[in-house]
Amino acid sequence: MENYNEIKINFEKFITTFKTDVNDLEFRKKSFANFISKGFPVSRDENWKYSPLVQDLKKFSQLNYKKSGANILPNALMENFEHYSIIFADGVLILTDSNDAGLVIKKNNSFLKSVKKAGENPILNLNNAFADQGYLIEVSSNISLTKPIVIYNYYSKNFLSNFCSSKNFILLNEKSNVVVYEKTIYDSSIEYLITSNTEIFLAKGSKLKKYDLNCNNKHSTIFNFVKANLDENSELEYFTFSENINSCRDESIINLNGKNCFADVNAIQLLSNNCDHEIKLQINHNEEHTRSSQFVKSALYDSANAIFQGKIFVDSKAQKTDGYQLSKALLLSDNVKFFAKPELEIYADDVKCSHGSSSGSVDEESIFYLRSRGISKEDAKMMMINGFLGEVIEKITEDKFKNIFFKKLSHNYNDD
Amino acid sequence: MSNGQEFIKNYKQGSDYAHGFVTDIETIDVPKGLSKEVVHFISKQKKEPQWMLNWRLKAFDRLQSMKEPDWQKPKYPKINYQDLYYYSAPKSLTDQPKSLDDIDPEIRKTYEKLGIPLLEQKKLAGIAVDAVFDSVSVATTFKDKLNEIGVIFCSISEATREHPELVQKYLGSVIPMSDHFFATLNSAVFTDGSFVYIPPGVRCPMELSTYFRINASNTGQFERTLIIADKGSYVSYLEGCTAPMRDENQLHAANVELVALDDAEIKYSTVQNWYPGDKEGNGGIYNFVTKRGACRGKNSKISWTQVETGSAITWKYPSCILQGDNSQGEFYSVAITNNYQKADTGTKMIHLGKNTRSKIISKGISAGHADNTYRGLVSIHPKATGAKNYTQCDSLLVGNKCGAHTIPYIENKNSTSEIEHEATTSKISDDQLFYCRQRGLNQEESVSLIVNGFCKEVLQQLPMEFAVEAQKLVGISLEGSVG
Repeated sequence: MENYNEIKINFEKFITTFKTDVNDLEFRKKSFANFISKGFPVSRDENWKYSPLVQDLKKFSQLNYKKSGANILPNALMENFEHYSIIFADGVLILTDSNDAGLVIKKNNSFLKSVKKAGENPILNLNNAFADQGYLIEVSSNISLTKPIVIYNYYSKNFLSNFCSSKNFILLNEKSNVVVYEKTIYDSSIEYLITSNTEIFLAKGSKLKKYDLNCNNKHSTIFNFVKANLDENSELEYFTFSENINSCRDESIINLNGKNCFADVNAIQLLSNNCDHEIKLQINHNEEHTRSSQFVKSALYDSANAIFQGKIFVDSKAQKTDGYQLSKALLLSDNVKFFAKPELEIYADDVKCSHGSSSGSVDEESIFYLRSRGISKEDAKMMMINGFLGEVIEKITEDKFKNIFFKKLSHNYNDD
Repeated sequence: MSNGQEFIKNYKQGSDYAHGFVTDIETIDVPKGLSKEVVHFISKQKKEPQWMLNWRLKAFDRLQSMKEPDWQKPKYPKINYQDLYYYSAPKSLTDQPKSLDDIDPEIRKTYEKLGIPLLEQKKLAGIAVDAVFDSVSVATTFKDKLNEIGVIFCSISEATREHPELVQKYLGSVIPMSDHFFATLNSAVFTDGSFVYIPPGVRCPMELSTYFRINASNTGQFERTLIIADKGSYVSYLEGCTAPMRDENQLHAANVELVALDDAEIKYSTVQNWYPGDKEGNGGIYNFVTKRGACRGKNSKISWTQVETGSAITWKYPSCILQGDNSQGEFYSVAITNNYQKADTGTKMIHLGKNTRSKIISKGISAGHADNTYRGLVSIHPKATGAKNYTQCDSLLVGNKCGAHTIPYIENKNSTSEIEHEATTSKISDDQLFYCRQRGLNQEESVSLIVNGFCKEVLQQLPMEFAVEAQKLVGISLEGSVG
């Protein structure tokens, strides 16, 4: 068993400076004790088998918590369309409150709300112990927001501490409708640990579209956790674009708790250099007539490493489930690695569940076809990769965001 | 009536487990428990050379520091290894039978009941059989004929005495002595099993077959099979198993090693029908088997076919290590679980050589309160240029109290390789049932027909003799699960 003495000291220091109520304090202490009892995850643990974090977390013998850094978002990073904004700069929340009826955006002070099942996940326990920042978004019943909400996460060069944790809530009341775009930019050169824990509640008939863009992380170790609970007739569209992200685990658990709810989860991993990115996705079908779809594509250059672990769980009462999962990877260099573990765990008989996974290189015949039409080899390859990844972006239902991500894709190739 | 049909008939009449009888014969047991003395005793009984005893003792020592794995899906109560017998042999076999006529009539009766063509006179369609009763190999048929062409087919104990150079060279070369807990346990206390050596360029003219039976109670069966196919040879090997009905769970932890050299091919088929326990899930065999084949040579091929219908818990992953360039691995599996049976089975395909290919077809059928898991690994190493894998695993659920799970691990470290994996889960549709019923089949016949269709791709891979049996077994295993 490793010695977490320094982290214990860090925690003691944190709880003396962080002002909170008794219940919350108890919860934090319990979470921390849970973390200490298991320690950082090891690759022997089935849940962390391929995770890049297993190695990278060893770097953190202490978790220095200090509010510091830029506190400001460079203007160039701001989106130029109309939107509500939530800004995290170096882990500190800068809020733009909304005045619109039906929308509440505020600092999340009720950290306790997510006490429910911290479970076995050691990093989630760590997040529960240390989380001190976070936003809360609540949309009232029958409101369809016309402007999207944009969440900016910015880590600047001035960031001094090596650890930050946030805990967020998105709550959609009945028949509400909203688009959330979350953008994370890493500019720091310090090795730090970022954990975020977002809980999403979708009430009856509500609809959330969440698009995430994560770019260029070289130094930090990241654990993003999203848990979504869907009630009757609600819909979640969740798209993640991870470009050159190193040492990161994106973990999501989606609970389909009401009849006729639908989760559509799509992701792109576009990795080069020595990037190491993991997607872990679990969809729990807990009720009859629920549907889910997972579609993940990875394009890997240089010595990148991608991991996809997707799971469809079907409870014995979740008859008439329709679960679908597809993961495809393009291996574009000799040194890349791709690991996949597409899992099915099914306890109901009247279901339609399938998964597929394939990995390989660019089809030489298609390249030949393009070249015979006068396109250079490089361009032909780019077109192929573009088309390959574009298929996932096509699934985005908001045109504005579809274009943003397509632009992102082509921009990427121009850089090469 | 062929033996296969008789076997099915018996099965049906008994309506439960037809092989559940106990043969009343005197046996010699070693004292209970796992100890150095027991290892010495087994080795002495087998009249083994010193090197073999040393090998066992080394495994025994390693075992002391090993833990039982616990990552599998089916959990089981802790096995008390000190409460098991590690050796049990019919007394009349202590003096090895000189000829087939010397075999204890009681044992012969048992095998007759099982439908095993033990006596050469019967000459069932030219299958050579090595029958293993508890811990001792009873008889090997067709020995002379095989000897003529240089094929060695005998019990592993005999091989350690007669062909030590081959055993020493290959034993433990595919499954290292301390690979994991059960493999190490087997290495220390393995009792008997088959040994096959096919010389270069020989195509084995008949199917080789082993029949395993656990008779004594509280005994673990630890057999060890080693098959070596030398350059350019071919062999097809069949394995079948049964056990009496008992309330307690019995452990079966076998090791099977296959080695295929250049251009050689081994086809290994299993119909596993150990006692599955009763309808409430009491008793039954724990089938924790390690099966692994190494395609050492260029263009070699190993093909595993398994029909798993028995055992309380089936936990095994017949694997292929594709070392030689252009070598091929295949895995065809049907796993049927009913009542409280549990299966966690699949395969590992390790691609090391260039242009290696593998194919996995797995069909899981789950009924009653059973849990059926496919777990498989496809790993393509950096040097396996041009490697290809195709995996298909389908699950069928009968009833809503059972579970079907698919856990594939895919590791691709070579950009010129291709891996494809697909899996589906479904149930027997009402339309299909209606169609069959309309044509005059009853509910159970309909289910059996549909399930057989579902498994067809795998059953086709079985040698003829087995295919007929297996098809019927598929239907029988599901009896009582519908309606």
